[in-house]
Amino acid sequence: METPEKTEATWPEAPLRPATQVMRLERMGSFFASRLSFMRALIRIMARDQWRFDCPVRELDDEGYGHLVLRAIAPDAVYSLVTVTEHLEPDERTDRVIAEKWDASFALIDGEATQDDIDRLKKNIPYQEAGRYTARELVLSRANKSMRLFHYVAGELAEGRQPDMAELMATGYLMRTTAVYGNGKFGLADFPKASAHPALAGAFRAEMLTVYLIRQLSFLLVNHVASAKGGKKAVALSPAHCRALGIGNSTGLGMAPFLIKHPILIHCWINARETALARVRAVESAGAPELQRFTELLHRAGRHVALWSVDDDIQMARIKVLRGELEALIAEHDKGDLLSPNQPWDQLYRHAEANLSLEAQELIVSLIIELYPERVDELAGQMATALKEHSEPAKPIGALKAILAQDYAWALNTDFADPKERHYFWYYSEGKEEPRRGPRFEEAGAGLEMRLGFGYQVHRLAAELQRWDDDTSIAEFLINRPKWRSTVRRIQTLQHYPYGEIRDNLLGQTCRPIDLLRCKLSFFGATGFDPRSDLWTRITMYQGAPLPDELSTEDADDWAFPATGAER
Amino acid sequence: MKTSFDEIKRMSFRALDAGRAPAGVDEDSAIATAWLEASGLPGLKWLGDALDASDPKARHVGLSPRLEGANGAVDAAGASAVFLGPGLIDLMTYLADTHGPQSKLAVERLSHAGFLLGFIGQAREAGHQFALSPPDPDAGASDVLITCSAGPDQPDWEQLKANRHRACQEGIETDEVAFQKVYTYSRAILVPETEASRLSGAGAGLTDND
Repeated sequence: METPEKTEATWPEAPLRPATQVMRLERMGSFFASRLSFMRALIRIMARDQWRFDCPVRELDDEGYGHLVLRAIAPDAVYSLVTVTEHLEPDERTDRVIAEKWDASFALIDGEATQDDIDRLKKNIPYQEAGRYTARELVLSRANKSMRLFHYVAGELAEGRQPDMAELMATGYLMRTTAVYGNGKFGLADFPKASAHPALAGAFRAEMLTVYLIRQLSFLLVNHVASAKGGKKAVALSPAHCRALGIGNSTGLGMAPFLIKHPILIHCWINARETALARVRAVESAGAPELQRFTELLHRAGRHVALWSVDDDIQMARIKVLRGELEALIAEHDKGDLLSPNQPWDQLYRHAEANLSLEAQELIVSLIIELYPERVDELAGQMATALKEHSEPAKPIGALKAILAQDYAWALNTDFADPKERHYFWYYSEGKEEPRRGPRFEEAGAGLEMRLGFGYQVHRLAAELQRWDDDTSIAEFLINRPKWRSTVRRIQTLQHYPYGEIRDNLLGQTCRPIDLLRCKLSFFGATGFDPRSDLWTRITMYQGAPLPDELSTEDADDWAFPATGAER
Repeated sequence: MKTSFDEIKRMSFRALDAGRAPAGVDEDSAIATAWLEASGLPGLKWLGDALDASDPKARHVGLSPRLEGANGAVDAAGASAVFLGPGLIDLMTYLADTHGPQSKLAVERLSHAGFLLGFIGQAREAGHQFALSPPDPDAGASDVLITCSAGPDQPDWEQLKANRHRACQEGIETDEVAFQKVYTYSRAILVPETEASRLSGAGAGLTDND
């Protein structure tokens, strides 16, 4: 679906980076959030349209258990987050899909929440996937507390003190979501309904609105608990401290197949980002405001990365390299040596590509995109699509072979006879349908694997096509060999959407699913990637974002590279 | 029971995938099932019946069409439209693209031929004027004709469209028995849980009480 945000101007563009360069797992696993990310785009719309927020229903005991309704009020629509909070024993608290209970559960309703809605959802949302939902509900979600930080903050507030800012920044959130479901799952509203309002027409906008409301809920809850505990002595969490906090998220393998199963949509996301980069690289010379802004953001990015610390050895090593590279860039820039007067951003990007790590290259991309909202922001309207994969049955097999030869060397040159290249299979487990990945030659179940090994399919199709005449139509081929339908359609479709295909083998022993997760989460606008293994990560969403009553301020959109809550 | 387009599509895909429908046919027939249900037609029942009736080996059947100019003919030999529909519509598209609106595709001995409406309806949305004759074939093996021009006894496409619009706003009212049958088939795609797989899942073995 194309949203109404269309460009009036035509901007010059440098050449786009080729898909063969961009769509590699290692680079995708180095992406950073940008001003095109979905959270940023939603905040801009809410600020532009002066959305209001309130909490018309709040029935909580002193421990913060009960139910609430938070509302987001747009000029022409209302969305209500029905929330249930419950006591959870420590041994019940897990972020995995296989969890059965959560500290809080949510449903976002399209409209006002009636008492009937609240009564119905109280009986369903605590059970999440085991409940039933209707087209009234757009999103279903749940969250667990960050126990240590939540109790520390509540304790400090109860004593009349603000918590230590460094403690807040180190964790980044009071609660973390463990799933955010939309798009018709469990009977929820389908995407066409959920995206009917222009503000929610983009990808994952209803989900991002839900998370923004959950962030507000986490402040409300901690203030409530502190007030009940401290009485008159208690204070509320200050706006600066709230801004320092986002909402955490634990994400595992469930997110990875999305990138494979929605190739046209992924093309739209990547293409928007690459087009933004191309427009900024085409800038002939930078004005004083852009140069001043660049200086601010470069220093802020340095502080952001300095605060970014994780347990994962691989990621931490990359962060350390990035820190050094940023320090060097800052030093060079402070001496006036970093930017050239002509095409400064193109020159900077070229310097990064030639000399710096992938992390630094992709951080530079997000940073220089930040400088030119007038060139970039309208591209956010091109990041959703209703287009579906389609085959071209009248085309001859010879044309298909030509596409394979041109675009699929990465698959055709992979030696799939080597067991290492087919080491893993991906599947849904009977355990609450949790997506998992197992070693193909050791674990049972490979016959039920998800279809994520597209490179392997291409490799096999190429061998099959050698037995067919070039003039035979695709229609005749597929009715005779129906098992190739999915592969042929994908190849025919993606010749028009080159950023839709990842040029790496997802079955191979060296594949790190964490790269897929980071790519997708960067488009959400997540920060603080904290890999807990190759299979899952924690992240923070909306850290540094304006609070509801700050949406009308001039700097409401200025929260890239959050480094302290007081930064804005 | 009330459900959604995406829920029907997802569940049907899993049922077809687990039932060894060819890759891609599972995707297309899942969408057709949801399209039919949203339109007020019994897609889930047809899908469930097809999964009941056919041997999984018969779901990968490859056909050799007879093509003479604008006319095509295929003997389905009793196979179901659930599994052959995508290929038949491809073939009809090929005929129409190369020979124009006089094209016809005769399909002999096709089971659950009504399921073709799910593909024909989507092809119409994409700009083709395909029609099915007869428009309400028997569930058993039937001879049908796909053409490029609608006769007088076609389904009320406008009414089906209105049904889909209402379904999007209010959810899809489906027959619970048909839904549960396909749901049961869909569960076969899940890999049985083992202690080893549970412990190798993302996040296993770590505390989340931090």
